[in-house]
Amino acid sequence: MSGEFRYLVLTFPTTHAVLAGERALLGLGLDPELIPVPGQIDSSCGFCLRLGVPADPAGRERLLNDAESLDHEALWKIIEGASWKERTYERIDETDRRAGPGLP
Amino acid sequence: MSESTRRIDARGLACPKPVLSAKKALEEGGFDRLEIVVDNAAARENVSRFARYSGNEVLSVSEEGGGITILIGVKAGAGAAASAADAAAASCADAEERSPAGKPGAATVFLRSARIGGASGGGDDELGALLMRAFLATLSETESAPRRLVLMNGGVRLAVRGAETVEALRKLESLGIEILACGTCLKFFKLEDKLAVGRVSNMYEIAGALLEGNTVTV
Repeated sequence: MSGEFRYLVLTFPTTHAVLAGERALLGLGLDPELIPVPGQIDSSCGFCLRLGVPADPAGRERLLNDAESLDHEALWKIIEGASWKERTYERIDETDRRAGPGLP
Repeated sequence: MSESTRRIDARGLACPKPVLSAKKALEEGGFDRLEIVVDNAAARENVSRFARYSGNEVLSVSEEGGGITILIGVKAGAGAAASAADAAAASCADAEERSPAGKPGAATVFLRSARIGGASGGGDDELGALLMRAFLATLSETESAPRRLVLMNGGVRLAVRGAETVEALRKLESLGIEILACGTCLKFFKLEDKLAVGRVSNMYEIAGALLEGNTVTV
């Protein structure tokens, strides 16, 4: 399902994979933020990475490809609510790859 | 011609009064620079935002001895922008509502190390550093966000240039959470000119903050 999202969350199988993923993303010039895995997400590891999603479709495609090339578990999009309490997460699928962020 | 500076002491004034006094001074005019001293992060943000929105320029923001001095360069043609002041005032209620610093009883978090646990306690240093980063990234998203963080000993390393935690701390500070770094500790580590977020504090202020009650040591 496609929806507006400006951030995504990348989960990993182990803490070491998170660290390797962070280094790889930094090496690509991206700016990952280490956060604890949100309660609504299942992950084998307690840490995950949050990434800002570029507004342009090409940049987003590149980001998703970069993220998927890592030893990761899953990619989630963050659906912002009125406050952090209303934030929800959805698994990223093919529709998200095609639609631009911000499109309904 | 030398530049004239008008000074306002807005310490101790509740939001939105610091912004309103800046607005009043700008309406009166007759000076090139406005120096306004406030005593909390929310007032600093509000006054700086107001200065920019009203078309003036924030020349510098410096923190010293419990006061935060904002130096505003008055631009010709820029007014006091009543609408900007109104917006700043309106955001006060909202800011206070959101700001943990504004909530009496909110905790003081005492960080004595740049890690949460480590090898010396039978744990792991790398894991300890990760836990601290995740902890700081989460602090603003808890039901009971703290009003301030006190950094002592190795804890000051969290707030210096190049630390991976600086962004997370900046985010907390922008929400009105006060960040106090022990000046003696910064000096001990020769980091006194590298503080990137928060302000330098001393044992008197820190002891007072810790003894105020509801202190959580991590």
